[in-house]
Amino acid sequence: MSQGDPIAELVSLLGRLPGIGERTATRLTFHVLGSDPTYARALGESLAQIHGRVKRCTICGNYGAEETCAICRDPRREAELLCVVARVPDLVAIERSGSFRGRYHVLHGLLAPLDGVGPDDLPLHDLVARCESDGVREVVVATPLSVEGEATALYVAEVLRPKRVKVSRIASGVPHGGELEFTDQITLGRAFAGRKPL
Amino acid sequence: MTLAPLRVERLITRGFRNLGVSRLDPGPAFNVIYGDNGAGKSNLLEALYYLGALRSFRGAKTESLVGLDDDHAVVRAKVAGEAAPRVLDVRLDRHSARKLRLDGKRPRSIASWHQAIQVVLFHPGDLTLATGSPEPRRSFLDRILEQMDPTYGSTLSSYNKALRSRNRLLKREQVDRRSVRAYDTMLSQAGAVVGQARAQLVADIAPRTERAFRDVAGVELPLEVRYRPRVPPEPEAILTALRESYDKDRARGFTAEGPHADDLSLRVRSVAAKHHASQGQHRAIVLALKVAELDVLASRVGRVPILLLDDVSSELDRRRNRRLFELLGSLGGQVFLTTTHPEFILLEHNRVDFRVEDGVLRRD
Ligand SMILES: Nc1ncnc2c1ncn2[C@@H]1O[C@H](COP(=O)(O)OP(=O)(O)OP(=O)(O)O)[C@@H](O)[C@H]1O
Ligand SMILES: [Mg+2]
Ligand SMILES: [Zn+2]
Repeated sequence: MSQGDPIAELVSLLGRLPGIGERTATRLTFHVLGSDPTYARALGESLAQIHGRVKRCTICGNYGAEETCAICRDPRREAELLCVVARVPDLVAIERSGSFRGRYHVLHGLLAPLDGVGPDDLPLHDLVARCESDGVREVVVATPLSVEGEATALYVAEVLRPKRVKVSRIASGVPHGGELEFTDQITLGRAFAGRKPL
Repeated sequence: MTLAPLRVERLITRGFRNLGVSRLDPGPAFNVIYGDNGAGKSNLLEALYYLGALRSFRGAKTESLVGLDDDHAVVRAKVAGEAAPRVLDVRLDRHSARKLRLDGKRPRSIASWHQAIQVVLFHPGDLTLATGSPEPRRSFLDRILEQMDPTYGSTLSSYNKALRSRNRLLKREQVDRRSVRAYDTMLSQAGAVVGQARAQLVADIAPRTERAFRDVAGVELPLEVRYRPRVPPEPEAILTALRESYDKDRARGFTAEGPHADDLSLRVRSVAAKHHASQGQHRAIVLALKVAELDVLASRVGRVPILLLDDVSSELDRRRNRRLFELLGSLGGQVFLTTTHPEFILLEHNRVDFRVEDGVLRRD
């Protein structure tokens, strides 16, 4: 990053975001530069505060403004049904489809020995603890259908095997290797309805 | 059953290896490309192979395919099949991604490209199929299956990734046995799909290979082609094998059981061809495998693929050379073959000869 050039600096920072190449980053930079400075200030403050203002739910790992998230606090959500997802955008996609009435457990990652991610790097002890204390009957694993997603699902099944919990996997309505986030709502709804035991 | 052959009606290359700007209007049957060592004969086959396989058969990167004095290379072919001819266009740049055009448009998918052209290649490096370790024989099967079924490739790469992951776990000081078990399940499922597809393919190619070998080499030495899976390709069998070998796997630091250890066994007189056959017989075995490949692809796709033979005649005696060309002629496809001595190609009919000199092609 060139120290002296603020334009190049912003282009380089924006260019590190997923889906944004150098051309888009340049366009965004000049757009911000051409807009009212109050917009840039508001954007900057919002970015600067995001980590402080958003918390990970201490129960499920979802994002929220408080210690526990809105879903975990909602008494109408079934406590006996848990859905395990890799990332928060997957949870958002499932919520949008309206096909699930239980609660979640967000792993914030997937098992990937080749990238050095092992079971201890994921909140799996918390998952087991929740199954023991919250009277969970069924855990639906909605990790992606990639090698890492499958391995994680099977590992969850191994870990929960001695517990009195049913473990199932969302059916493969989701395209192979596909990101849940980009799966349409009908497909996702079908995937939940047709889940299979693991 | 007579199938329509695929036929390259015109090939144009620009900036590919040492070929410069060249144009070739091949004949419908045998095309004999001859010239001295280093003239550019294999380069021409490489260009044709690239159209079909979208990679070099010599494992070359794009940079080495582009001519030394050029900044990009183009390979274009007009290919006649059953309906209207299609135009396939590949552009290779030194520093950017390869560009494909099918009838002037970007192909919808790689699968749609592969539907437009199929090639089968023999080159001297393929002799390791008969003389080498099981690895090249497995990839021989895998490459054919990938061409016949696009989902096979993704299942195989999932299997391989799961295998590398399990091996990585085995090498750790501390192992969570449950995470190994998770990979066992995946490997047994994907592995059964891979193993069953290979077994089915070998059932198809074995009799064809044995027949082709008999046609080329004569009856004195029957060839036996079998699929030898390390573990029977059933999910339960693979799972059991993985579970039972865990302690040994842990000690050696890798996974021993599963389709990654399968072999395509090639035997003559009940002895592995590797140890028993002569050099010329090795060549005949590999050619027989290629003929079988062409045959199964033809019946699957409904058209005879283009056959590319690099330096095929050396080491085969006159009698076997003649039989080989009789067999190849009976397949009815278009053939491109290279040689330093065109008089060694014992073909009287259906042939067009092209001379290559320093990358320049001329029809005789
Ligand atoms: N990228 C390139 N640009 C220019 N020339 C190249 C390039 N790559 C290879 N060559 C040249 O191509 C020639 C080799 O061509 P090729 O392998 O087709 O020979 P051949 O006719 O098959 O010979 P042989 O009979 O020995 O197999 C060599 O002279 C080499 O210098
Ligand atoms: Mg050569
Ligand atoms: Zn929560």
